Amino acid sequence: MSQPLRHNRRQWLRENLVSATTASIAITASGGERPSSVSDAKFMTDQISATGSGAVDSNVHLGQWPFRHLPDADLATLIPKLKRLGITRAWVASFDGILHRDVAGVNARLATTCRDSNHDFLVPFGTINPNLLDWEEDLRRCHETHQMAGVRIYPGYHDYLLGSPQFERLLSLATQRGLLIQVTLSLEDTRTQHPRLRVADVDPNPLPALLSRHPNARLMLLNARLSPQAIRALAECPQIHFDTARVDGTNGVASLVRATSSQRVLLGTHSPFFIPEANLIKLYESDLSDHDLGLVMRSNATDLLGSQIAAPSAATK
Amino acid sequence: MTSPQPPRRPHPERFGLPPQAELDRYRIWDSYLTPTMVDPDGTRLLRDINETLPRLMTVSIRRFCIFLHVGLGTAEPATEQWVREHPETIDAPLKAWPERALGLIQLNASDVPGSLEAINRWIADGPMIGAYFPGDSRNQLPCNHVNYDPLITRVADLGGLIMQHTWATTGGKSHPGVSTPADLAELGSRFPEIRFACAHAGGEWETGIRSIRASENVSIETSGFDPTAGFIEMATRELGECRIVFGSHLPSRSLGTELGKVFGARISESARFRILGENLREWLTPILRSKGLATEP
Repeated sequence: MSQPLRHNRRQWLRENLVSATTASIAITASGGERPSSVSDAKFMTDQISATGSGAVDSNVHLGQWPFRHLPDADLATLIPKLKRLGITRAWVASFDGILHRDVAGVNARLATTCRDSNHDFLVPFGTINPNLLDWEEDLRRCHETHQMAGVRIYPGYHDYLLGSPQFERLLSLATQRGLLIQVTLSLEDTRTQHPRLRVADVDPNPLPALLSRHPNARLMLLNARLSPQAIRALAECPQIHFDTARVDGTNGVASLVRATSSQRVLLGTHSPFFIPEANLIKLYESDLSDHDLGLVMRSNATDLLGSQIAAPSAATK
Repeated sequence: MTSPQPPRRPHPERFGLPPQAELDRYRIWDSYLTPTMVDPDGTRLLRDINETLPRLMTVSIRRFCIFLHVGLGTAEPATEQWVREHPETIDAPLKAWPERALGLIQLNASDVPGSLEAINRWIADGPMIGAYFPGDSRNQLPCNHVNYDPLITRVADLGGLIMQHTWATTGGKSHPGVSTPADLAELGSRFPEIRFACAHAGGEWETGIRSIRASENVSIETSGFDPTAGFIEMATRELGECRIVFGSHLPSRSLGTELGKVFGARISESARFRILGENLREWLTPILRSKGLATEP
């Protein structure tokens, strides 16, 4: 069963990465500020694949978690630690985006931080909250001003459902721009949350029906802890990718790969909230083949953003 | 019973672990293995351990504690029936892996006479080295209830390990029989000479650690919740490295989640050695010796 799925996904990626590039150029021609750089994207893709080692961490946050001091939250600590662990790229969003309402400011600071700290290492993902007025402008700035390759959303914390009209509009607009949407299904175990800010895990069940209406959309679910039935339903949608952050149990990552596809699972550490070593050890203990391990650690990330990555140093000049 | 060899991947140091030789030196003991306890025919538990063992061997976990039903109403009905009708199978894992498995019996504080009888049969006169008090909904009494007193006193007289399941869930207990670290601290204060292990540090470990901080006879066990950063650092700061024991919670959790907490923490190497093995070895050495069981590796 897995072989046709892989073939379909390859085909889907080819078609949609082309359309994403086209969308980017079209937006620039119609008044956008700066297109994504194909040469920058190629450089990054080549660098990752040429080294044949190192990993892309698809799930990192910058800034301070509101409820606890995290030992690795400071950039000066986080980046060296991830690098020591063999991470060569980190897709980052800002913890500020979870509770702040000036999301434009959050995203601008994120872009600046990524540019100033290490233009090769940090790949910014802006926050979009479709419950805030004028969020479409935030999306435009993420794409055109900051040249981000994707956005990260927090439906649980921003109080909307994936079956809601505002999410469908966000999905539609982001898809038109060729942006990857990272859907944060959870940040913290509901059992340990602050008593005055309890946020349920986001229900992904509306996604299959929604994505049938948006076949070109690209989604990645972060911090998913799903039942086997839920995974089976989502596995039917080739547009959906998964990170490893809250996958647990003996051989949990390999089980997720088997249930979906080796090309739809990406390493995500959820650091600095989680200890980054945890998700690397999960890969070590898994019975993934070396080939599949390479896909999960590197190549799937390259496939997903390959033609979309803009070097932050150029993006925010 | 022999287990399949683990598909050992080279270079653990590339995945957040120490190099293999260093990993071997920790001599890790696991205080909290959780193979299936739904075993209505006496085969599933053994099979589950057999499938889990290669993972433990991959990272040089030498010994593991398991919590065995002994017919006190701690299991679901089918397993309960099997155990009561086939008590000779209860210690099968200890016979299958005598060099690795350490057995604790699951007690029920709602059945004090039955639990005392089980302690005598399985710990005093049998191969088990301690008692486990579960936290699922079949357990009706939290651990600060007076029914616990005669049970823990008897287990302690025998030198047994007392592992108490704890969770402190936001919003309150999911059922009345759940024990929190604060409940265990209360029990511990009644018996300051008896040592207790606070399983999962209460899950919400910032509160859990502070709940038992002043109870020097209570240690925490590290498994059963996400690999949240800062846990081991706070635990060593507030409790000291001697009051923390490692648990894997395999196979329902992963080595990544559980070992990551210890190997990713900013603690001294001596603390890591203590947490991963030394503390539990020291704790269990008297009862292991009394039963003629190996205390090494």
